[in-house]
Amino acid sequence: MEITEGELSSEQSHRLAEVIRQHPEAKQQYLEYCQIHTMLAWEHGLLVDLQLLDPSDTPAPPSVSFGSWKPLAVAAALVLAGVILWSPWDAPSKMKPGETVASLTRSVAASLELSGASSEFNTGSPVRIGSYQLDEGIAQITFESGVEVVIESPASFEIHGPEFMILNEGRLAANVTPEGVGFTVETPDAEVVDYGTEFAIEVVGQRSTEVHVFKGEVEVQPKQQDTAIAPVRLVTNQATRIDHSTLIPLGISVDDQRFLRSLDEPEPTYSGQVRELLPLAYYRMGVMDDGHTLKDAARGHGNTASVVKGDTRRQPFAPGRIGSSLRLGGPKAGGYAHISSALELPTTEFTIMSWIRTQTLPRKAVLVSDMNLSGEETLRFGFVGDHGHLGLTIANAMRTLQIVDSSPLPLEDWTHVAVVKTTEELRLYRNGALVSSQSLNGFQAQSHNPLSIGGIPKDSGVKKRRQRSGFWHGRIDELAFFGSALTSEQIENLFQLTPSI
Amino acid sequence: MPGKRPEPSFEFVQLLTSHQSRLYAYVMSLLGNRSQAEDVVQETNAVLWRKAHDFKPGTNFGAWMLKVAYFQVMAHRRRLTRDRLVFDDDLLQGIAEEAEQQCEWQGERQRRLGDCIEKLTQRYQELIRRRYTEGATLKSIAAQSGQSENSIKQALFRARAALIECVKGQRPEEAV
Repeated sequence: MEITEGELSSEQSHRLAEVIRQHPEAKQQYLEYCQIHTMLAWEHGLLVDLQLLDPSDTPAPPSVSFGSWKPLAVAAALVLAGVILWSPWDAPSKMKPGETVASLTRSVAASLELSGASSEFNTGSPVRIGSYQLDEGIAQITFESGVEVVIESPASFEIHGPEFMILNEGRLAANVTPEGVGFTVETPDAEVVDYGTEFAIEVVGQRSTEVHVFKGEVEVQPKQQDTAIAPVRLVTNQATRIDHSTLIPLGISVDDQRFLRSLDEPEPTYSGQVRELLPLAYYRMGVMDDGHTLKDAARGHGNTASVVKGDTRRQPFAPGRIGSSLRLGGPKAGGYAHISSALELPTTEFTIMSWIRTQTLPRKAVLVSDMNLSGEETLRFGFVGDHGHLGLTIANAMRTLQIVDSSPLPLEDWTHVAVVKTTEELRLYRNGALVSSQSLNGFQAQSHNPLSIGGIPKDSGVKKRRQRSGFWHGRIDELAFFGSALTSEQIENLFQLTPSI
Repeated sequence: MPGKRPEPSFEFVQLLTSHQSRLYAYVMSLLGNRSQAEDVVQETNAVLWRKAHDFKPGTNFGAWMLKVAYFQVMAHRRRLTRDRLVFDDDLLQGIAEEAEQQCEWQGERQRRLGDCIEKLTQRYQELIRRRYTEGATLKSIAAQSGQSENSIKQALFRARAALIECVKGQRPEEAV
């Protein structure tokens, strides 16, 4: 006990040494005792007084000696050594590892780690001061002041107090309540002080920092080295990029499609109206905590879908046309979603409708298909050819029918699309207007099931597809399936109902 | 001038920070003295920082760190008078080897620690909290609880013993 609680007397030291020398198991016990003390002291914040010596050979006042260092690196080192943190601009602020200043209010398949500690994080977990790594998923952290931040993986950040955090890498969106005004986020390139607002920051390694303001006002102070660079004030719908090499702020367009700012799906008129039309299945693409389920919002059906992520570490949810959307990475990532096999589209009449946004136009990319593992397909709603012409193809054993939109889809823009099959014809709609139709001429459709979204299953476990084709690159939102043929008026109404961005 | 020195990489800083608990445990075992260990940990950190560019990414950071720490412990011992040394030189070597092995398990044990604390009785939990979260001394805990310092000492000892058993993956017999 004296080892950790006080000082061993000379006599006690001798006795301890003697016991350890003679009994190997005593040595083991002694080591375990030291280890448990250390772990407790570390985890519970007792090492706060431990100070890292100024590592410079020639001691100088902190503001000078650290001014030319990477403040981020110094901060990170000191934070976890449980020590005093010197900020190059301010008076030293003392970090107290272990102090709770926030809580994890949503965890979407998040793999969140506090460096040097063993804490497990679930929704509701307290968030203590310290340095964090978010390798997967999304974490929503709410500070005591009410400030809410949504952090997307992969990210690395430090929480220093109820009003101050550092984002070393990754994406963050913050919603600052009036009580939280003054909330500050530091990045390797700048310090961002909030004045009551909704803003987002992206830090790309040591390359650049971008700050986007959606509502309110923030001040961005580049981390000047030699000459003073005046801070930039950003208000609603303004954004700036600070390149690491120059630290000069450059005005850029605000990007409201990059940051997931809320994890809740709003309830606007659109979704209510879709439900009125009794869809068979309706995927609003709301963020689910498990990070891969797509909930079916249709009344009484419950045909959930499940995301197969493919080769990407990023979580599959992104800002959508309404709330969030399903993000798919195209042929490179190979992600898609499969719908529970209980959902079957009738062969006589059906409607498929969605909001979509394309990033690139991969050959034959699929929005919805019933292609199975042996390659049989009787329905494909997606691109026809190489140039982003959207179309519907249906087939039976004898014939194939197709309707195609004559103009290609625009890139990086939300488009409302719908295909309708009646007993007589196929119709294709874009932004509420009919763009193509085709008579069935007695064509008898086959049943369409099971369906997948944004791609087709990659392998059956037995044989793999040779080519990665058919994977959607972009976002899909508010995907609805109906067992009836919606009228042109109904489709146009739904398009008109969507709130403007 | 420190500013002229190349900056340690972010990866290095992360390694350094995530190994702090292990470093402290190792130095503590070698010195058998809490306050001396804290001093040596600081010195070791400063050396690691200065030598950041000697470290080759991809090699074993932990092993390198402990080697540096060992030399710092030896340097510290040289500054101490003989009667303040807990272990003599030959015993130290043996402890160092085992402490090094022990360090390898620390990450896993640290992950279990939270659960193990929850399994303790409330009294022991409270004791651990007061000692390690608030930094209370045996004396102040004794004064506040109206118990003797010796009984607090014993209780704290038993609480730690139960935690040691638990993080080792065995069921603690007592205290839970």
